[in-house]
Amino acid sequence: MTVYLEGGSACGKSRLGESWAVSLHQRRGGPLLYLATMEAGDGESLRRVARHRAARAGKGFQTVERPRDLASLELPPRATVLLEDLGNLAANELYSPGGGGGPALLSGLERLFAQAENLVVIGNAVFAEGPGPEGELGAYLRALSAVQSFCAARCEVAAEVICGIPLYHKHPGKEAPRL
Amino acid sequence: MILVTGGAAQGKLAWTLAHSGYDPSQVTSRLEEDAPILRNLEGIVRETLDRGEDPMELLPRLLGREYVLCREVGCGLVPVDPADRAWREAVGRLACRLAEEAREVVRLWCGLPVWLKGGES
Repeated sequence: MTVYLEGGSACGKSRLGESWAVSLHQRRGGPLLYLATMEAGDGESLRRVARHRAARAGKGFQTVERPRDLASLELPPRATVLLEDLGNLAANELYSPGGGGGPALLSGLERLFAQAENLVVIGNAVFAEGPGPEGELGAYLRALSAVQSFCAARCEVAAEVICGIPLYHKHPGKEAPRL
Repeated sequence: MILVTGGAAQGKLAWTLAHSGYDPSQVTSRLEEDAPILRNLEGIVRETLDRGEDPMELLPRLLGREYVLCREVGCGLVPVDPADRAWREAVGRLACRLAEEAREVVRLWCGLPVWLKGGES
């Protein structure tokens, strides 16, 4: 099962993604991995990482730090993976030393879809406010939009998360757990 | 309590007035004013942060309202200003808590209500 969840900042998408991943893992067994993409540098991002770690504590996730280059990641068999999040991954591929840009972003996701038994991907709703694609971050917005559209197309389930509640745009019905 | 959310100028207040039958005199954007409809929660959160207080502590004073209107913020690139970042995250977290407690959660989109919780969906 593959799930794409997208939302703005502090919309509850992480918690919903954790619920989905835990639920899929409980049904199918195998390793439960949290694929973390953030390169924590300053105090604010460290606090953010700490808050997310605290929220995941006790849920059984094994954390794998992977700020870029998902294409070379070898997953164990039958893994349930929660990838968080595409906004950070895109920034790292586009702007960090050693990043592979938009092509690496897409090929990394393709590889992940090919390997994971269950995959929950968290994306970022960053397109409704602030500067648009004509600004200096246009390349970032286009790369992020491309990979998020790919995930929404590829996943069996796709939802926007608003106030912690999923608004499903794709839903196979009976397969979806009540969260 | 019914939580009404959505982007700027999507019809949150117009829908709330039509849905409730209240008139505009029963709407306030000030926490200290007693009115069934409280709007501009995002602005109230900003003022609360500016005073150095925790917006989550507003919760008990929000749950007694019939309607709470809060703009959906945080759907743009991460702001450069740390205060702007803190504000949109505080609004998001408070809205998630309100949604847990709310009887209904409605999101306005181009003037159309979409029920995320309870209600007519």
